[in-house]
Amino acid sequence: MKRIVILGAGTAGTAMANRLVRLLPEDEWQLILLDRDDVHLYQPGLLFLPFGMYRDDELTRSRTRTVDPRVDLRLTPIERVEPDTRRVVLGNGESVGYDFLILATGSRVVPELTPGLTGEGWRTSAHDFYTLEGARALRRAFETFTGGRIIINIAEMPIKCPVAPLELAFLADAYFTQRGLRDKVEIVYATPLEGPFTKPVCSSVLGNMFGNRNIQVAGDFNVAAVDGRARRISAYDGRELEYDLLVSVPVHNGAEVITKSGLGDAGGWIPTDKHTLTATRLPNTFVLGDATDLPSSKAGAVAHFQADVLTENLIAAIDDRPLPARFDGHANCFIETGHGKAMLIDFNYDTQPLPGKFPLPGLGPFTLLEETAINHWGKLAFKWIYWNVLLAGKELPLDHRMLMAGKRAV
Amino acid sequence: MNKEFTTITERLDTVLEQLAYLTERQRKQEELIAELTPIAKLALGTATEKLDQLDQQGYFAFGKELVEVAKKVIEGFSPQDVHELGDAVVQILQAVRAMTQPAVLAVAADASSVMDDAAAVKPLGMFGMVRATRDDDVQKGMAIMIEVLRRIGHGANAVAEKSKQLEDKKAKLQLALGSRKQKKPLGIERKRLTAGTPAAPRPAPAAQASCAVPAGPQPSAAVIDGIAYTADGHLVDATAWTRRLGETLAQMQGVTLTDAHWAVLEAARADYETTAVSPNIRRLTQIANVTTKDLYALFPKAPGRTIAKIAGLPKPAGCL
Repeated sequence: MKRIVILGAGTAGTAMANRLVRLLPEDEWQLILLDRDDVHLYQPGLLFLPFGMYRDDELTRSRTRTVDPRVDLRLTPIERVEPDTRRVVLGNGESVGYDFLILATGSRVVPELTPGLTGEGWRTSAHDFYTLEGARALRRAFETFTGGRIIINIAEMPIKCPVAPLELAFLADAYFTQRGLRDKVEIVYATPLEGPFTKPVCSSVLGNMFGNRNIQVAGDFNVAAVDGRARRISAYDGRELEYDLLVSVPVHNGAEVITKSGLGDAGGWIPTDKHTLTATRLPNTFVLGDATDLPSSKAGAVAHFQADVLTENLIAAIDDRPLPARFDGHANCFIETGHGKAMLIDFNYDTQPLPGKFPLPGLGPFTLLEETAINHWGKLAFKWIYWNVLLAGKELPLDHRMLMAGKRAV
Repeated sequence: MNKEFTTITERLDTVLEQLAYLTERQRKQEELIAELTPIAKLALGTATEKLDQLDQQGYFAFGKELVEVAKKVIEGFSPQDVHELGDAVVQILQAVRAMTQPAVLAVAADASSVMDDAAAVKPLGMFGMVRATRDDDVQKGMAIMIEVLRRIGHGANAVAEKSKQLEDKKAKLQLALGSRKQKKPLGIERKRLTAGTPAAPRPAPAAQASCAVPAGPQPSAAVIDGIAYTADGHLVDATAWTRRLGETLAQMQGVTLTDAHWAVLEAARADYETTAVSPNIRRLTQIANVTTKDLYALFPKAPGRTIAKIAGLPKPAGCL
């Protein structure tokens, strides 16, 4: 009996396990999926939570429910990975050997890495929305907010779902407009990048989305520290901004177990082959989802497209054939823009987001780089697809490669 | 007792049967979905290809323009106008058919061919005109033109007469219903398009204005000394970088390079080679073993971006 071990039952690991268990003969392969707890969080929903558009209980499910019963799901902390002896050591001292290892350990926010962020005012006037607790606390803060300056700050790149801070800014604008408070609320978007849009087509097509909404931008803002008592955020270049409410997107790192096992770089991201998804320094190991050090976005859609590629490559690796499939960095995601509308972007390593229609050229129904109601419906419908199709590892009628069909090269 | 037991087992049997039926139905549905998904994928693939062809050929862009035309027609004409036009369509078609008869077209083509050798045709004076009327063909042509003129005049009179009758009718009606004219318009009047005002030009999509580049995250905006740069001054191709170029780029950024600068730049380039991502501030401090303060001292303005620029790496970017 041979064994595949998957670390992490998040979006990537769960979808991969559910897919592999159907493909591999049960009498030859054992599939073990490891995670430390039984709570699967629908992370895209965290964006809506602060605005009361979703309830908490819609966002979590038991991992046991999302995993095919034929998969050996073990809920236990993982101590470390030992690639030399090809085994995973669990928290209780037991160890699990493997023939193939898939690292789907994801990413996590580490607010402690920004001095002062988790000090005074944390979760009352300074928030994150990348955790369930954070998003809940932010909802309370928004509900009671009557006016003042809100700063949305990205601590540093890379972050999960890089468009989420933009969406939060747009939704906050819409939320306070609907509550009739917009003229009392100042929204500032402070980013370590040059500005909210960094790609040429997006900059020119979407460049005025911030100005139109009266959202101010502080570019090249690398946060050095937060003073929770004075409610002030300072950048390394000496700039200081005062806030009444801080929404921080904290520093992201890879999983602790990766750093502890010495498998990652300084941020805990695992060096990964850009196209085959093999771990470049580890034998018989693949990396999936946020855990990679790839320049692709850290997003569920990416994990999904990668899973398509990895399935082909893993089967080939099992048969000792050369790895056939190549990941092209494909990502797509909806961008909520408020007032019941959303945009959609579709891009990869080489192609920046372009305007057009998706997935059917000319027809859509989704429109790329343009705000439409249908895009918003798509975003809402995605929750069902996530729980019932994507996590179940079922096939979606979408190509994992990015297609130029329907896009306008401007 | 025994009878009761029989009843219970009978009921159980029924429930089991129903369960089996439901399970079977469920299985069928799942199978159907499993069957349909690859089909849908294929269909979608084919549709994508077909529609892309149409898109490439400009059908959708054309369709969109047609919608614009339809919009103008709708704004400019009332349903009554369209109805009347409908009645006239047959006449219009008859006219078009009459005009497009091969014989007529041949005459028109021959007549317009005069324009081709217009240079050879000599200007004609008063006497020339008179002389020309001796020609049989010219006489015939003149007769036809005069007949056409007569019919146009006849038609114009008829139209004038009809509109005069209409005006008279309206005037009588207004006389009879004088007070109604003062009433407020009903708000359903449509704005007529005046022939003289040209439609406002549709604004070109902003994207086209500032960058007419094909797909690709790093379009080249300028080529200086054989090296391509993006619009914001980063190298298009990181491998085109040399130390000498680095020095020039640093000068342009107002940075005088010391060994400390070079250590950071080399580290950034080495890191980019393995990760294909321009390092952020934290990563720079780790790979070059400096503090953030040091980085800001060496490259005071936006160090991440400045270092990427000098080291020939792409601009640190988000996904938009």
